[in-house]
Amino acid sequence: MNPLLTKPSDHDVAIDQVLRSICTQIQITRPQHALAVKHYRSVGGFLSGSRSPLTKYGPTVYSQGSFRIGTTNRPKGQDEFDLDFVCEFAFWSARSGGPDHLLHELYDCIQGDSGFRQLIELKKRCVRLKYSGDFHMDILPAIPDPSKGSTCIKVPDRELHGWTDSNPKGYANWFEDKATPGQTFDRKAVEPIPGYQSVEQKEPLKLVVQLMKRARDVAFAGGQFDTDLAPASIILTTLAANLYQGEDSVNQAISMILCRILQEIEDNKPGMLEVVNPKNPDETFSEQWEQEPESYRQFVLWVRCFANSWSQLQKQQGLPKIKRELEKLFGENVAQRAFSELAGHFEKDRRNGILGISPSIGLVNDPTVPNTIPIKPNTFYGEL
Amino acid sequence: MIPRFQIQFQSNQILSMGSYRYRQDRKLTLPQQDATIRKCFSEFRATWNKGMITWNGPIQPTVLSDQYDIRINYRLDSAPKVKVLSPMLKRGPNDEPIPHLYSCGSLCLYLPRTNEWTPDMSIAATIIPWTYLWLGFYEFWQATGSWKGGGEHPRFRAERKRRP
Repeated sequence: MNPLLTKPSDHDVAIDQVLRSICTQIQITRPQHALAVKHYRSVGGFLSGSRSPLTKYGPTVYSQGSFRIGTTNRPKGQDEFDLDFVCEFAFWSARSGGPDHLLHELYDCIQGDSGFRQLIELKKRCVRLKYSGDFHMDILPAIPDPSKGSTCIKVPDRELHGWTDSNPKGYANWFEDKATPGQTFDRKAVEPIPGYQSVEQKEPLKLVVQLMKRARDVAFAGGQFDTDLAPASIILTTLAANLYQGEDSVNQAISMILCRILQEIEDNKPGMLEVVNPKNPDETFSEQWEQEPESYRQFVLWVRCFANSWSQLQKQQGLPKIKRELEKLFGENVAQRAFSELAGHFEKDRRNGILGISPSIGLVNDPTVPNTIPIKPNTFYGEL
Repeated sequence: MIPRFQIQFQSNQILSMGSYRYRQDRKLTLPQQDATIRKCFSEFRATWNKGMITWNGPIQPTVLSDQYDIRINYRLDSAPKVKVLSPMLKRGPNDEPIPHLYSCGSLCLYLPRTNEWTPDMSIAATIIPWTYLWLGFYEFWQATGSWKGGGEHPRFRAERKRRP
């Protein structure tokens, strides 16, 4: 933790409890994660196994994006889960053929398997496998980038005319380093597909990213902001990680990050912010803003609204008022489920005898809080 | 002169087996009750009126909650009555009645005629913590529409019994 940061206040700790409960409601569930891993293993095993028709190109399959860094949310509304994977061909060079050629090799290979045939769909830059259970897997073909080395790769560009730069592994390592400031992240621990992390196990930055993405989904669901112009998740993730300074509290981190994004926007005026992959600066994440300046305008407006709502949230007293603010930000159902869950925890702690009263804080379930008065068993009664 | 009094939070329930009776000699006096309340909840103020003592004080059930001003009326040989003075308690968004409230407006914090509360118990260790709990569950009820604090409503209980 950054020594210059203020210690989380009792208010931060309490709001964090609510925010963590919201994250539990929005993040991918353990069974969904397990299913994704199962499908990944079957495709990955097929493509990179010894009997794969692509063996000569040395394929390896690994996850990229939110799934790799543990910030995958459940889709809102009718959307499907979109999990992104890379199939990197170690022995394919740009001279072996263009990206369209490689994409078709990948497609033909998967198409050749009777099990995958019904699931496959050829997209512009990737092969999609549509599974039942509302989720699909996009497999993007890639080749190493010998000029940059390390984990840098080349992937098909949007128009499929050529290759463009990327570095999903380097990005994920960078993000993990940002999420755990002061600790050296053990890179050996990064598997091609990381294990499930519950909300309790997650670093504040990951929860911040999940909450920001969810707030984006709610705000850009129609109404004030245009769904098609919503800022990409990779933009939000990169901004958040870049501007995160090791805050222990999710509440504090969001306040500070929003404030710092607004500052960056001001500093870049009259131009636009540019967001690139810090581990491959030739990969620009903020292309959408250059192509559609209106999307940048809406992004700026949304960050201002978000920052305002966040400071409103800090001023509210009373659980119903706090819930109303959170409903506006993260959706009614999510807030409802989060508060029901909290009330349930509260009652469970009471039944287990670990709830007490600290006259200065109120009800607490932390036995280390000094001067806590235990609560004797009681039964609420009443005429109604 | 207020007698010195050690608070016993853990086991001051003195019962003979199978009986709801407490030992009359352990009944706490009003000054004893007042001393423990002032020790634990320093913002509570007592006023005396003949045999009745009234405490007024603020309760914020959780860090995120409103602060409520409450009043406890107590005279020996009767049950302590707790009322919320401000902010005024509100019915639910669809005019649902507030759960666990007597018609006089005081909070139903425990089962009467059982040993949940007896005059040998400190109000600071029972009634006030239960008020924190009640207010916490009240706010959750206001927020979600569901009372998660359990309890009994005698009318429901009677209806349940009447059912074949």
